[in-house]
Amino acid sequence: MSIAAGIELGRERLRQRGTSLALALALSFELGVALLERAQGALGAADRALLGGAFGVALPLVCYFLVGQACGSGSLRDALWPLARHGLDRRPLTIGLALPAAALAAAFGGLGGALVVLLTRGSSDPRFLGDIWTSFWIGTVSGAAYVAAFVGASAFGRQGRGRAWLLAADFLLGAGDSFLAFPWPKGHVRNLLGGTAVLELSQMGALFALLGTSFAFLWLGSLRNQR
Amino acid sequence: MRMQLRAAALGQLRGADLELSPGRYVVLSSERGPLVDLVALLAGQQPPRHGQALLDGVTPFSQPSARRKIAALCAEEALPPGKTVEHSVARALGARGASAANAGDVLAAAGLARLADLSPGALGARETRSVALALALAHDAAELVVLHEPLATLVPAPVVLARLDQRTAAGAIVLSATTSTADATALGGQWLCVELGRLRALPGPTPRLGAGPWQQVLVETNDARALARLLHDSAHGLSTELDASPNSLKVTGPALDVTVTELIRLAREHQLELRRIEPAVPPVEALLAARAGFARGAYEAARVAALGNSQAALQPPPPPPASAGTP
Repeated sequence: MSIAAGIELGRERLRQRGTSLALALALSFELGVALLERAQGALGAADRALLGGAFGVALPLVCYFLVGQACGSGSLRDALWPLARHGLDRRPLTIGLALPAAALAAAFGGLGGALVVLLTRGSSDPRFLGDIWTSFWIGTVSGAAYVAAFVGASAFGRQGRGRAWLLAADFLLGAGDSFLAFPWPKGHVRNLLGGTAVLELSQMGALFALLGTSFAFLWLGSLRNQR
Repeated sequence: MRMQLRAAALGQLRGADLELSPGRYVVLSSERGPLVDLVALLAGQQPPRHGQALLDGVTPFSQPSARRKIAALCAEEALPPGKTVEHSVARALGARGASAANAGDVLAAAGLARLADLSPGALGARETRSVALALALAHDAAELVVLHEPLATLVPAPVVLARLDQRTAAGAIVLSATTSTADATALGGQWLCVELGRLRALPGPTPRLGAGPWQQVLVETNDARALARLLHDSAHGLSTELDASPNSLKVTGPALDVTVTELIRLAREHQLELRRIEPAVPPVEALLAARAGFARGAYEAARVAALGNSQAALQPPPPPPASAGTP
C-alpha cells in the first residue's frame, strides 16, 4: 500500500513539462558531445564521450534534477509528509518515491549510452553491438544507482541540501581513484566503462561497490527519516 | 488517550512539559515560531531535537499507527500531488484508509467546493491550508486534533468550531495554537501558555477561554429588564442574569468584544443609558499583563533574596559619630 502510494506520489511529481524538457536537453547535450568527440577523432571517441559528457556530467545532473522533482525541491521528509501524515510508513514510501525517478534515470542512462556509442562508433566496428549493449546496461544501472544515492542524501540537510552535497562530492572526490572516491558513484561508473579503477577494484567489484554505496545512502536516508 | 511532552524542544520551542488528557486546549502566544514548531512536533512531522513527544506512549514521528490517529493543520501545508484538488484530497483520504469517493463531500462540507476542480499547484498558501483543514476536520477517527491558526483559513469559523466541538465531545484531545487573542477566545478551551519559547501547564486551576461563564460582562443601566429582553432577541446567543438591583445585569456571550459591541448597539438604538460595563473576569490581555506582573514580582523577590546578604556586606559603613570638636 505504502510503496504503491509512494510510486504514485513520485510519478505525479515527475509528470511535469519541466521533466521532459530537462531530459531532452540532457540527451541533446550527450549527443552533441558525442558528435564533437567523433569529429576530433574516431579513436577513443566513444570512451571520451561516455566518460565525459554522458556519464560524467549529464547523467548525475539529470538524476539530481529528477530526485529534486520527486521530492518537490525539498527534503525527503517533507516530500513524504503529505502521505506519511495519514499513517503511511515512510520507509516503503521512500522506496516507492524513488522508483519512478530511478526508472526514468535508468531509461535515460541506457538510451543515452547506447546513442552515444551509435554516434561515435561506425556500424562497421566489430564491437559495435557489444559496446552498445555494455553502455546500455551500465547506463541503466548507473542511473538507478545515482537516484538511490540522491534520494537517500535528500534526507540530510535543510530542504534536502544533502543532495547538493552529494553531487558536489561526486564531482570533486569521485574524480579521483583513492579511498576518498570510494563512497561516490562517479569512480565506479568510470571503472565499469573501462576507466581508472577506484582502489584498483575489478569491474565486478565496481558494480557491487556502485550498488552497495548507493543503496547504503538510500538506507541511511530511510533510517534518518524513521517510519 | 494521553499526549505527553517531556522536555521536548524543536526549533524555537525551547521546552515543553505537558500532559494532555482528552479535552479542549488553546495555546496562545505572541511568538509565532514556537507555535509552528509545537504543531509540527505534536503532528509527528518533525522529531523533537531533544526530549520526548508521546501519544499514548509512542512517538508519532516514528510510528505510522500513531500518526493515523492525528488530524493536523500545520503552519505550512502541502497537499498530495494530483490533477485537481479533489484528486489530491481523494489520495489523502485513501492514505488514511477512508473512502476516496468522499473527497467532494469533504470539500463541500468545509465550503470549499469551488476549489475542487483547480490544480493543487494553483492554490495559494491560505487555500492550501484551507483544504488541509477540511481534511483534518473530516478525520472522524482522530484522537488528537492539533491545529495551527485554524480560524485564519477560508473555512468558515462556525464550521470549524462546530467540528471541534464534535471532536471534543467524542473524547479527542483538541489543541489549537494561535497568536490572536480574539481567535483564542473563539476557539476556547484550557489556556496553555508559551513564554519565551517554553510551554507548560500552569499550576492550579488554569483560566479557560471561549464562550461560557468566563466571558461575562457586568452592566449597570437605567432599565436592566428592558435591556435583558433586547439581548435575548440578539443573534449572538447572549444570555442574561438579572441582579437583585433593577439596574444591574450580568450578560454572558461568546466573547467579551462581541457582547460589549452588541450591548452598546442596543443601548443606542433603544435610548437606554449604560452607566457601567465591566468584565466579570479579566480578559486575556489582563491575564497576560497579570502574569507578566507576577513574573516581575517573583524575579524582584528572588533578586532581593539573593542579593540580601551581599548587599548587607556591601553597604557603606554607618557614618562615624560626630566628634565633640566638629563645628
